[in-house]
Amino acid sequence: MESYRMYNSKLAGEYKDAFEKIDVYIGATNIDSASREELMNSLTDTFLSAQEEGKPVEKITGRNIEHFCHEVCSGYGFKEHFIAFFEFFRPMTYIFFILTFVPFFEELEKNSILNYFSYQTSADTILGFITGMIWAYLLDFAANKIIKKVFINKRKVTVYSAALVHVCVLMISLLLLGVVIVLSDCLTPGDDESIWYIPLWTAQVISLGLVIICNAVTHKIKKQNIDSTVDVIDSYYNESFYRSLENIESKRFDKLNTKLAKKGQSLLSEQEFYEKEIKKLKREINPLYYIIIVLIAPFFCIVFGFDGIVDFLIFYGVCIVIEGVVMLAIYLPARKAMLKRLAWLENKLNSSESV
Amino acid sequence: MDDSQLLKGVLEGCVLGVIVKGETYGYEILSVLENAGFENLLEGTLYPVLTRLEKKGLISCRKAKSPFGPVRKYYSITESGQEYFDNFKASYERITTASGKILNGDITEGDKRNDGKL
Repeated sequence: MESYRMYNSKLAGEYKDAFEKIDVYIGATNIDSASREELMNSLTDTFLSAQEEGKPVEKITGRNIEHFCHEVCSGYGFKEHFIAFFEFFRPMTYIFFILTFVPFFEELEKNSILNYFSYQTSADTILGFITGMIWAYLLDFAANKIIKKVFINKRKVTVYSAALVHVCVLMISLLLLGVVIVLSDCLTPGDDESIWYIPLWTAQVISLGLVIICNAVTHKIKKQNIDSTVDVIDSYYNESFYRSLENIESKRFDKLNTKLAKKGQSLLSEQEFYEKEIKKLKREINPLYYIIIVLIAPFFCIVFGFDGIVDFLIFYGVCIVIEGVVMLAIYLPARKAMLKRLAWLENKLNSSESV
Repeated sequence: MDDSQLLKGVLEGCVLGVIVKGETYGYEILSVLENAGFENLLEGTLYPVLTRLEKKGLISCRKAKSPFGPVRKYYSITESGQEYFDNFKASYERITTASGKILNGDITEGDKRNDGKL
């Protein structure tokens, strides 16, 4: 689905102010991101239509924006809240899954013989994860309550002020957590040993189960979010880059030939230029090109030593995950644009050949 | 007088009444209802109604780009929606006839003796 954020910049004056407030309020509401995107698209369309007709914004929203947002969201029920819940926890389940491998690598590092099925691990990881999940959910809930109750009544509200609320709540909670840890250390000194142990495979099955459940529930949304991002960037290409492709390619052709002339080499014909660009582009479209970058790049980042293989694997794993996500976000929209450029170049090549 | 309760009762039927005429979208439904006399109707009231009707399977939606750019949902009536609308219309006519009689003071002696049934 195309993101409404591409079009809400067309709103002006009272429409812009009202829309920003609604955007912040709906963003702080516990409904899944796909439903939220759909709702905001509908509202953007309505606002743009009403603005075009010169209606006052109050004709659409009434006098109370908070009441309007509350009414709009009243159509959503258990299903949307349920999906939003899993959507919230999905990134955390990946972290949990990775963490369950840490004790496994620690044992390997000690060179001890490990019987995977009988190996017991501290249940602290699971308990910590569950506590962390509840803690994060409560924080998000508190921040959203503040945004909806306090900020919505301010004259001007932006998404940045809403983000600031989340950061402040997080800081306060970390401070509180620090106080709790210091107090518990003072009350029970030297009591660091875990009292609960469970088989490692159980912890991994639980974490993997959580990853699968969260992904299954949010599968449709994940796809829609990627499509939405692709659409936004694709549209950028369509509107600003792709429209002037002829101009850009002609400049590129001139630049390349100027370079060749300076070197004293023979100049490229248009046909040769298109062939060269097509060959280069086909190589860049191949996903393997990006996968190799993702796998190799972290090695170039190693500028300090590691205490052991566990530290190295954690560092390398985190690097690959971060880089993988960034590269995927670049690759998906870029591939669409590259395919369009390829089609254009092939079309040009065919027409130059026929001439 | 706060007429929101009365409005809630008839709004679903009226929205279906607009959609039954042909494929339409949110803002157009709002404008039609406004021109018909629902002057204080807001998008905030209409949107949940459309969501509910869609969830119940009474209307279906098609997504397409609006002339302004964002994705617009075009609604059309389903078979069960048409059936629901016909039933709604029949019930509405029965109730308005009955309540009209009471409110306008048109009750006859015959109505009074008819076991309370109007």
